[in-house]
Formats: sequence, structure tokens, C-alpha cells
Amino acid sequence: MRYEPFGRNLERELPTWVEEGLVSAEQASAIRDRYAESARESRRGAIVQALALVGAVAAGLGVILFFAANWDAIPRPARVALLVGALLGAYGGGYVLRFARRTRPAVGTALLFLGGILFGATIFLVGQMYHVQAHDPLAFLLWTAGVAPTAVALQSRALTTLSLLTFGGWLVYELADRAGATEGYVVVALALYGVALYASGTGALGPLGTFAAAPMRQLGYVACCAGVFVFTFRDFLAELAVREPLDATLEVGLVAGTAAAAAAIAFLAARRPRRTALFEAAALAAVPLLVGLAILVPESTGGGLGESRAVLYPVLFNLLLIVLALGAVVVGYVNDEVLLVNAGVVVVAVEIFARYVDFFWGLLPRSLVFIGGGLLLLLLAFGLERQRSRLVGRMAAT
Amino acid sequence: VSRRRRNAFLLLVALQALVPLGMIAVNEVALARGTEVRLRTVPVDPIDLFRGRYVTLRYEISSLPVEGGGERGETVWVPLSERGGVWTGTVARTSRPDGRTFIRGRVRAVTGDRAEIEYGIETYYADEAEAQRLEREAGRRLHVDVVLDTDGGGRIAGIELVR
Repeated sequence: MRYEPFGRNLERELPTWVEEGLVSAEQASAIRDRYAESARESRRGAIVQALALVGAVAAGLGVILFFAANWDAIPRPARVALLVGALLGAYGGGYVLRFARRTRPAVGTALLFLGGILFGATIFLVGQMYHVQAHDPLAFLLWTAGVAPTAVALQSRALTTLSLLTFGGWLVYELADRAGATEGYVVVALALYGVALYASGTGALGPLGTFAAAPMRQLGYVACCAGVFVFTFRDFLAELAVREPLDATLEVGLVAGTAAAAAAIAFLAARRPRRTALFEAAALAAVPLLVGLAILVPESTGGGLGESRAVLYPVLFNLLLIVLALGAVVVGYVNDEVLLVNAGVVVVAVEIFARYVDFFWGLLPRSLVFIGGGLLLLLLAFGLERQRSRLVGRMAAT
Repeated sequence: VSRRRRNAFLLLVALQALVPLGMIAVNEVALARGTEVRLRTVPVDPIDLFRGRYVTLRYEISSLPVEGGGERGETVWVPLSERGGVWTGTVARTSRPDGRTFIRGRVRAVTGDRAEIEYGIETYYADEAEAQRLEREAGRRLHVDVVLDTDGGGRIAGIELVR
């Protein structure tokens, strides 16, 4: 079954309903207005929600900083009571406002999100209390293990986002924690994680529910493009090419990550929940393929770090990033996803600016590079904004 | 929200509250039951970070030769012996020693015949006043009281400036 957004389906079906005499033209217009109004309300609600979530993040950071600065001044039992009390209070208050009384759903959602942050804070702060440092990354995994099932139980988008971020944090921290020349693999993990998230989130559109699919796809797209973007730099490829032999755990991790990304892509291609699914799967498949090639068959760099003359992989990764960016614009347009269109536009802008700086940094005086860069950004902003507005306008009209 | 989902939420929140309590219980039991040793250390680069102030500690036993050669990431055990109230070790082993006091660590890096070993007791968190005091005293020696569990895992019990 193909998944289509409700608004798009409705707009397509209404004229047929009128033709078939199921509803009159006036009734069709009333239905259209009703959902247009609900879309406006939804936009207003999104702003309130965003404000409340920012408040939750600020409060969560405040709690961490407060305890970090006043640790020894608070007796140990009081610290524990405060931390656990704050955790229960945030979750309890959030549940009442969002689900039990339903009087303040936006604030309720934010409080539930704060509960998720406080759970992580308690893990780190208890760790501090006992000076626990051994293998810190596991704290992120424990955090994910607590928040992810809660997100599923409440079907909460905010908590899903948090658990995806903490899981990504675990991946990054775990790799960065391993000494030696393996830091470049953080980028590899980021790209693979992004591919796996976007592909599985898109593949499961419909049955999975928006609460999980939307953050998976959004964070997945960002992580995937961020990873590929780093691969467009020659020096990064050169650094990866002169790596030390990997330890066994890291090798197993990379193989597992690649397998997870491949499985997610196969799932998306097999299920094809929307018209663009095969194109999305193909573009995503190019990421682990090219990353794997760059690691296993590195290009001869012809110089040390900073003097790399590699050409093939930088060109291929630039092309891939452009495909991912323009592909997002097209896929977003076809499927009525403004966010994906915007994300693609931002990636195009970042890519053009990065290549401009790459090319002219060594050729022109710094002042000219900045003047040119500033003008280029203004031009880019103008052109992209015009294109984006046209696209979004067309999407709203069809 | 259905009753099933509400019950699942209540259970999950209760479990989340139990996690820090469980962590506290595990650490308190380990501190109460373990063997206490005093190690000599120096504070390295006290840092003010987002998670609060902490002092990075480097021990005499942070760099040791490994019997039979060690590899990065490998678990090693260092037999400890007491001299003048302070415990120290001279060599790390890749197998667990029997019948002695020992501390467990992980090889971070190998340089020549010596290995950089991490014991999980290299970070001492402090509040602002304590961190500033330690910062002022940077360069002076410290004694750290470490409680060892039966497998040699260490936990910091206290820290003391050497007069």
C-alpha cells in the first residue's frame, strides 16, 4: 500500500467526489476550508510546541549545571531525592497535561521530553558522584534503553528524537573513545546511521506512525548528508587512507553498521511505500557503497596530509551529495514534504559555499575570498529562496 | 491513552527511577566490601567542562611494561605491593594474578616496551571550590584512596593532598 499525506489525497479526491455527486461544490469548499484552518492551527501549535521544547532543553541543561556546580554542597541522599523527584515530577506532570487532562498538550509534551533529558542527567550525575569514568559511552546506551521504549509507549515524537540522538551519541562517543587514528570512522558511522534511519523510517511509512517515522527520516537525512559532506574533502580521504589497522571490535561494528544500512535500504526497496521509494533507495545505496570503496580501495593521494591530490573520490562524493540534495528537493516536491525540500535547499547552499571556499582560499587574498563568499551566499539565498517559494507554492496549489 | 500504554509508561518511568538508585546501590556495596589501597598520583590539567569541574589524574602505574606484550584495548592486571602506606606496581599482566592485591586496567596505547594503562579512576569530579583548590595545588602530589573489587576494578573513595 502506498502512503500519501492526507491533505494531498483530499485535494485529489474532492473534485471526483463533486463529479460523482457525493458532495456538492459548496460542501467540497467547506471541507477544504476546514482542513486549511486545521493546517493553520497546526502551524500555530508547532510554534508553541517548539517554544515549550526549547524551554525543556534549557531547564534540563540548567539542572545539570546546577548539580555540577553545587555537587559537594548538597548531601548525598538529598541529591538522589532531588534527581529522582525531578525525573518523576517531569514525567508525571507531562503525562497529566498531555494525556490525562489534555489541557496543555504542548507543555505536557515538553515536560515528557524534560523527563527524558533528566533520566540521562541522573545517569551522568550519579556517575560523577562515584567518579565513574570507565567506558563512559555506555551511559548513552543506557539513556537510549530508558527513553526509546517510553517513546514507543507514549508514541512521542519528542522522545523518539531524543532516543535517536542519544543512540547516535553512543555511536560517536564509542568510536571517538577508541584511541588511535580511528576518529575518521565517526564520520563513517554517522553516514551509515543516517542511511539506516532514513531508509527504515521511509520504508515503514504508514504502519510505523509519524511519531517515529518523521524524526527517523529527518535526523537520518541530516546525518547522512553530514557524513557524505565530510567525505567531499580531500584531506579527510587522505587521513582515512593512512589509517592504522582497525581493532577487531571496530571492524565488527563497521560491518554491522553497513549490514544494518543495507537491510534498511532493501526493506525500503521491497516495500516501496511511495512513488519515489526506489529512487530514494538507490541514492541511499550509493552512500555505503562509495564509503566502503573509499575505505577498502583508497585512492593514491600523492602527498602527505594537506597535500593530497586525490581526484576521483572527492568528485564522486561531491556528485553524491548533489544527488542527495537535489533528490531531496524532488522527492519532497513529489510527496508534498516541505521540510525535505528545505533540507535539500540548505544542503545545496552548504555544498556550493564549501566548494567556493575550497577553490578560492589558496588563489585569492583572504579579504576577496570573504567578500566574494558573502556575495555568493546572498545570491544563493536569493536564488534558492525564489525556487523554494515557487516549489512550496506549487505544492500548496496542487 | 489506552490502559495498556499507560501501564507500560508507568512501568518504564519506575524503571528509569530505579536506574540511578541501582547505580548508587552497586557503587555503595562495592565501596563497602572492597579492599582499600592508597595510590600516588598527580593532577593533570584541571578542566572546567560542561559536566562540571573535574581533575584528570595520572598514576605511577599509568605507564608500565606488560609481561608478554600488550595490545591496545586489552585488559591487564597489575599486582600491587605496599611501601610506606602507598601501593604501587611495576608490571602489568594479561592474566589475572591469584592471591594478591591487584588492580584491573585497559591498555590505551603501546609505546616501545611500555603501555599506557587506564584504570577507570583517572577522573575526579569536584565542585567549584574544591576544583580551584586542586588547581592551586597543581603539580603537588596527591594520594587517592581506591577501593578494589574482587576482579581488581577500582573506584575512587577519596583524595588527599600530600603535605
